Amino acid sequence: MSPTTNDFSSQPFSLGELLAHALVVELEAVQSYTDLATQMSQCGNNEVAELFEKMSKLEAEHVAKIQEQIGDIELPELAPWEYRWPEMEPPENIDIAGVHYLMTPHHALTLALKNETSAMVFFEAVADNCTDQDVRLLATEFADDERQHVAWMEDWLAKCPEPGLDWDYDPDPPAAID
Amino acid sequence: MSVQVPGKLKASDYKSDTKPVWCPGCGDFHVRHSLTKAVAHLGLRPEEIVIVSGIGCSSRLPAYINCYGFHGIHGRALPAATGVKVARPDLTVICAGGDGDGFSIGGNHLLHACRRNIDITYIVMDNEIYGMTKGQPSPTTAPDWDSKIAPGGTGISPFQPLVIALASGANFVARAFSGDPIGTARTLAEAITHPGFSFVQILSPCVTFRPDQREWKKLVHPAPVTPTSDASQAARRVMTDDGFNIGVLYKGSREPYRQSVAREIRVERNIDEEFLV
Amino acid sequence: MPFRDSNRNSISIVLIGKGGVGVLTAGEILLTAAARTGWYGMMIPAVGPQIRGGESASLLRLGTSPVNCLDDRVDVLAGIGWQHAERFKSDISLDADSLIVTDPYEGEVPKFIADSGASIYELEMNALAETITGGRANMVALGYVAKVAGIKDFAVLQAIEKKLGRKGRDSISAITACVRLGYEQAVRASEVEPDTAGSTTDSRWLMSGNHATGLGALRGGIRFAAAYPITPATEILEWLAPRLSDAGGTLVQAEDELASINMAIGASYGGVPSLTATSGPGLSLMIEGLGLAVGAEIPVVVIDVMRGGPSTGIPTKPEQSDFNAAVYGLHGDAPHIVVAPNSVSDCVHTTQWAVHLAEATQAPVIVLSDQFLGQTNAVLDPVPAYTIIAERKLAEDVGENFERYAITADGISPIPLPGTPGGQYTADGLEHSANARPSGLADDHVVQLDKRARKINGFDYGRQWADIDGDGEYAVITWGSTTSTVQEAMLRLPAELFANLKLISLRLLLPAQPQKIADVLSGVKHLMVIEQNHSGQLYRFLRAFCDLPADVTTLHRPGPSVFRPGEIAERLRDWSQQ
Repeated sequence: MSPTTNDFSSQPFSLGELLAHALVVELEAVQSYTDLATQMSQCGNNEVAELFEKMSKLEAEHVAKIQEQIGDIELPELAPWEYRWPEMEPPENIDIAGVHYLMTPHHALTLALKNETSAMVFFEAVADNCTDQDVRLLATEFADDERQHVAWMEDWLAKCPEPGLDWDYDPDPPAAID
Repeated sequence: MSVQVPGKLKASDYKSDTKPVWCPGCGDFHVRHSLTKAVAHLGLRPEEIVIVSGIGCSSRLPAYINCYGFHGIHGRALPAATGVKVARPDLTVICAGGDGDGFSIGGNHLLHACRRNIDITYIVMDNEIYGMTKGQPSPTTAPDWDSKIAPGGTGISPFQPLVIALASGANFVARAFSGDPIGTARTLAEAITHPGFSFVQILSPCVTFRPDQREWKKLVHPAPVTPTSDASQAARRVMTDDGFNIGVLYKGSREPYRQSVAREIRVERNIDEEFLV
Repeated sequence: MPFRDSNRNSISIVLIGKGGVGVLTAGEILLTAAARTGWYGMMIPAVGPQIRGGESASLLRLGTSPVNCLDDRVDVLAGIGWQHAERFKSDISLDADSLIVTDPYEGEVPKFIADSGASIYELEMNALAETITGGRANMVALGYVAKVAGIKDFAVLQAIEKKLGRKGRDSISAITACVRLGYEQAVRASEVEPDTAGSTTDSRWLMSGNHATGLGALRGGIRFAAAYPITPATEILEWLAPRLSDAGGTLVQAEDELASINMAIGASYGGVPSLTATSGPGLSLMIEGLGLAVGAEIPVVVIDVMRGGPSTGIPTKPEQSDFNAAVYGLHGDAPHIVVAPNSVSDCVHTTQWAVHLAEATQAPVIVLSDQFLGQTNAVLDPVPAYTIIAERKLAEDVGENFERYAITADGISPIPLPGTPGGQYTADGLEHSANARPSGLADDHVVQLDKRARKINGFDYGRQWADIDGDGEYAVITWGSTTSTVQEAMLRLPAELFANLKLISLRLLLPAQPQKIADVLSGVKHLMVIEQNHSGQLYRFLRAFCDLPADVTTLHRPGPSVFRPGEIAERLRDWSQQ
């Protein structure tokens, strides 16, 4: 959809590129989940707000790890649209269309699972495409971290009740505030 | 988002403490995100940005970004933004609002802002509805869209903002989609950088009153041709496209509006003398 | 042919004619020439409804001291044509002591004019003009009238040079020759000489109220103006455009009044003192914008050059009927300031004061001028520079917990201008809390309402709030252009009434000043409120907000004809005899 047509698989990722992309993935994830937590608490959907808070903290751990990896390495300076993503968007960018003020934990986890899965797939794809062993190793490690998240999401989802048929029923109409 | 380089601006520099009143799922959240990315990428400091808006859901934007803001009255964002920019040519002025605010009550001001080619960026978050007042057709709503206020639809041809903007002299015209945040960020960065009046129509679905707009995600597609510098060509394209062409459609080279307040006297004059008998 | 004696030595002249003959130009030249001769004076144009070719009149009054209103009667009426003269009936009141100058070529003097008993002098303006190539009848009339009024011929020639110099030497020669022909026909009519001992005529000014308003704005620090043309305010904006630009400011022509007010507010938000000028219909459009300036606490000045209302009304005539709109027009509880200049000269200081008030209180200020002030050209003493300049309280050192709308003792909170690091806030018409976040809470609303009211009501307006003259048990309250007419009427009163009469001309109309009014009316037993509108708008306002003496009466009538001193003097006399 974006006008950029960076070809994801045209070139193997350098170490710097991998780290830069990984950082963006996790930082965006932290921001997305934090924003969603705020939105949910604004709407009084506290259960889901807490869930997104939890996700945000998990991603923050990933951020810390990646920043440690980066250390003193100089990362390439890229405009937001110069990153190479398989789907033209960072993998953990929440699709806002799936968000609803009455969403249940099941919905939230489904969204989160999708994200963690695409992040995992992203790192796996980077690893597959790598020529440099060290980069490949690191990419694989990142993929494994995401795999762990995927497992957790699947686990939590399994324990989560499915939403009822009237999950989005609100007897009150929307308010006109301006 | 630019990588965290010390001294460079980050998204968190623009984080506002004011929590949005928007419905979760609103496209405007993405627009805020895109705009933040764009200004961070351009290195525009929060105190150097003024966002001017009117009234409506989209017009709540200024308070949700850490910058100077002006939440004015319905339909009058463009003249207010013009005043700010003429008074303070040193600042980056962004005008924002929705389709009702911008194309109905604000329609006249759109024409003249384009004519003036004032150096600001005008973002209209178009959801083809008056969302704030709970669901009336707006100038961009299809004529057969049923509502309480216009049962059976208005029966009126939708307003064509991009064509009008082109005909009136806008210097940069683009269409974006809130569900494409990176692409929108890029378009906004280009719009802000481009001199003169930059107009970006961002299709931004209303989750509460237009659930049908979920389909937009499937309908949008990159514009099949590169942006043109020929206004009439751009107008023809826009008048014949399906309304979902995404991308920069027109980049002109008109001189931006010249008048502005200077800091110093331009010509010494003893005004009192002219009244002497 | 003697002048009527009055307490003031003055002569009233009316030039009247059909379109194309240059009645207004002749009037302007006459005034300029009179000024150079040492007269004070004023001239106001009167026009018929056509854009071109319509009948018009120049109404002049010259005096040995400053002249700010027209007299009841006309000393000299020169008709360069009598077409539709009845349109100006209320402006040409003649009697046996008056002089009518007519050209038989233009037909009979209309009956209603001849019936006055005035002397008639037949001056063959057209025939004389024809003897000069490129000659014009109005210039012959001009020369004749100048001589009758005691205006020196060199002054007339200087005035012609100044006004018409760009027309070229041949044109000037022809005009000059016509003026001489007219001059030669006349006999000096009066012994009255203007007193030039007091001031050098070289230093006197000739200006219109609209230009005076523009000058006040510039002096006050206005550097941005938004403009939408409207009769009779357009001249303010046209005068400002190049001068603002030279001063480093700018004027933007807007697409409508809605754009004008919002542009001015936007520019002011950016830190530049801003204004716009309009008339009644434009003010109505701007009212919503004024409310935004109140709610978001942004300074802005709006000049309203009032004309006949309501709606499109009478665009070319004065009235004082926008008082209600200016004072009460805003929705919600919206404290703001309304001021009114009371003479052409006062337009300078009052406009400058308005800028200062707007900047200091961070609120909109409406200046109620009117067409009479705006389009009268007056000879006056130079207006000295005013010591107060516009001042906005700025927040330069913005700390962590800075609040844009912080509650302060005087209600005024410092503003961080855009560009000030750390001061980021969103100015909002929505009600808000002290930290500028939108708020619908009762506490926030009342606290902010109190603040906005406090800053306006508690402000020290100083001595400018009113001009007060005299003392006694009788008092007149008036405002705006009516003031000069009341002052002149008072000079015609019997001595004992004059000595017992106080005149209060309000310059500050809003906020109401019940305490100051009570103080100034202490000892007053009889009050008259005089104003030019149909419903007694100021009177009702005073009744609503102030304690008034038991005996209050009102003299009010609408435009298009301005008050004349005689009618006011008669009313004051009757009033004191009741």
